[in-house]
Amino acid sequence: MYYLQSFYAEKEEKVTGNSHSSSIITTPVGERQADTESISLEQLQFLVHLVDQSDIVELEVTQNDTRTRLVLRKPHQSISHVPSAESSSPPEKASSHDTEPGRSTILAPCVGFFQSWSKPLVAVGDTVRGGQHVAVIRSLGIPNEVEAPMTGRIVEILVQDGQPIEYGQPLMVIEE
Amino acid sequence: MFRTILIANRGEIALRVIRACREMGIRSVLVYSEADKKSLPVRMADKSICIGPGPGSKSYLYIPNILSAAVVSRADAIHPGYGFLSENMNFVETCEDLHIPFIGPPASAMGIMGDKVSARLAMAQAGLPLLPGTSVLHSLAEGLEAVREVGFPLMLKAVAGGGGRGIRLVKGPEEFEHAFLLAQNEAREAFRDDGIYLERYLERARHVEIQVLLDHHGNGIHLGERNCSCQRRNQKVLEEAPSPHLPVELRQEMGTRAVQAALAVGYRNAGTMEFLVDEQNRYYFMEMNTRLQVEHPVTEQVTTLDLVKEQIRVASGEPLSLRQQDVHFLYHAIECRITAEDAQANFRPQTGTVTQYMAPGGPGVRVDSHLYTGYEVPPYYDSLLAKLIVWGKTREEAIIRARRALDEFVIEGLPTTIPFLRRLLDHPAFVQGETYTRFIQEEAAALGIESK
Repeated sequence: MYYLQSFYAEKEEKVTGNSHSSSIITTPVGERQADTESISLEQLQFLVHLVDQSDIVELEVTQNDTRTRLVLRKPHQSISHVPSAESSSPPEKASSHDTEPGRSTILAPCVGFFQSWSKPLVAVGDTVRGGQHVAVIRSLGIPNEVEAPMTGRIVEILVQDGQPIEYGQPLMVIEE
Repeated sequence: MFRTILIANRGEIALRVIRACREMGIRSVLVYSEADKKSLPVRMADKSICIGPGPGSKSYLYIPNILSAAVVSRADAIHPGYGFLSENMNFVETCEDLHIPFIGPPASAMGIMGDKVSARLAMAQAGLPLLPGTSVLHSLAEGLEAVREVGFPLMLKAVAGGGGRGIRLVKGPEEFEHAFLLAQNEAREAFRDDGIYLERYLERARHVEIQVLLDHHGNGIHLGERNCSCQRRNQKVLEEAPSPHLPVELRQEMGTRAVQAALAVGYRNAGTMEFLVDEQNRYYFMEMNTRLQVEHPVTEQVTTLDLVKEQIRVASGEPLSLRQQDVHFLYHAIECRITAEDAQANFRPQTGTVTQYMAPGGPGVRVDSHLYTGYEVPPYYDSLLAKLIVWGKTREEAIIRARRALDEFVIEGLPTTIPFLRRLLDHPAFVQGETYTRFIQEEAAALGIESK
């Protein structure tokens, strides 16, 4: 039987494959239908649809006994977190690092999960002081506070609650 | 069996572990520094996580980010490669605390064998022959006392040293005092530990090391020896197996005793016991490397075993799939370490962009490298560019093949040690198998390099 081994919405920094739609990286899929040893065409179509219609960026399906592993991965997409009614800038801009003068991108100083157990410290539109804690990254159970590098206004939040974070990952864009 | 392995390393060894994972159907997660963002292993790993900026201390040695990456990626185990955290007892213990299996020996065994002095003691107790030497000395007075027993020439070695660092030769008693104080200072600077021990030095000796592999069920085997006598400033440049002129019975004896000694200290997984063998074929234990080594492919080619896969199997709790009698040695294998160093300029390390890269091929040729055309060699790490491994039915064939492969090898954009290695393979003493640890130094002129 299959079970979903890992299922998480995350921001992929690395683009795999060169298609612009969902790319499938797979181990050989048998043509036999309704066979517990291999994935059927219906099951595959269902999974592709599932990934396509949702926020899921990577889906991995494993069958324990044959050790078949199926990974469905979407190319790079940024997730713009918009807690307020204010609509944010178009997707292309959200994924770029600070290109505009007066704007700075706050980068993650460590590896962990983005503030998953506290209310968001800031929202888009908030004004923050230099040194103010704008986010928490939980590493090995220890909260690491992320400080604003300068005084300014948060114009974009690039990550979601609970999202895995790597070192140097862009977290927010701040404008002086 | 593990489903996901986090690889806490970079360069060619990261690639090596990724390949083993791929063949075993295991998901590979690679940590990388910002300087390695465009490296080949990052492209090839199933997933990669940036863990810090270029400098090693802030990335590949920075334990909190690496362990956090293991948690974030839900890794079932960590492979440390070689160098970096592979022999860091603190790291192993922390992995044990977090219940993330470390693919290597237990912290306790690493602790005993990682400390050069406690290793000597433990191996003496296990019945291995040692060169006359001392335990840790902390003062010149202790040193002067000890030289009477050890004799000259001798080596001053830093207790906390390793990989060829912290070693100094003292030829006679008149040099001792000055050398001892210098060595203490250097050790204090480099390793924050000024402990020095002394060891008798053999004028003409071969460096012969035994590869051992032990599981968690009390089984242990040896996979033969490697001769690593071709060294420059205590850094290996070429390794081969089997060791020329080593009697079969001596290999068997050294191998058996190495396994017994490893079992005696509770060692598990892959490791290497280093010995010096003198002209009368007497062998002496020197130290143990409690990790997978750079030159492991040499053993892989003569035994046809995949050592990284064996490491992973052992760490996941499987018993060894081979008994000693199942281990056979076929072929003769040679590995050349190609580094970004200018042999003409005293092996000064180089950085730069590899403008053209083309690896050799054909029968009996293997290349373990992370290079590609256009790759920018970062300045923060060791200078190893590629390992060329060749094998043949005989040593002669392997040497001819090594020459052929080096001649085919194209690495342009920065100076490499390929020309130096090529000359080494032509040197009559090397061809006769008459190399010993000071060989490169003493034949510097013939090899076209500056002496010392």
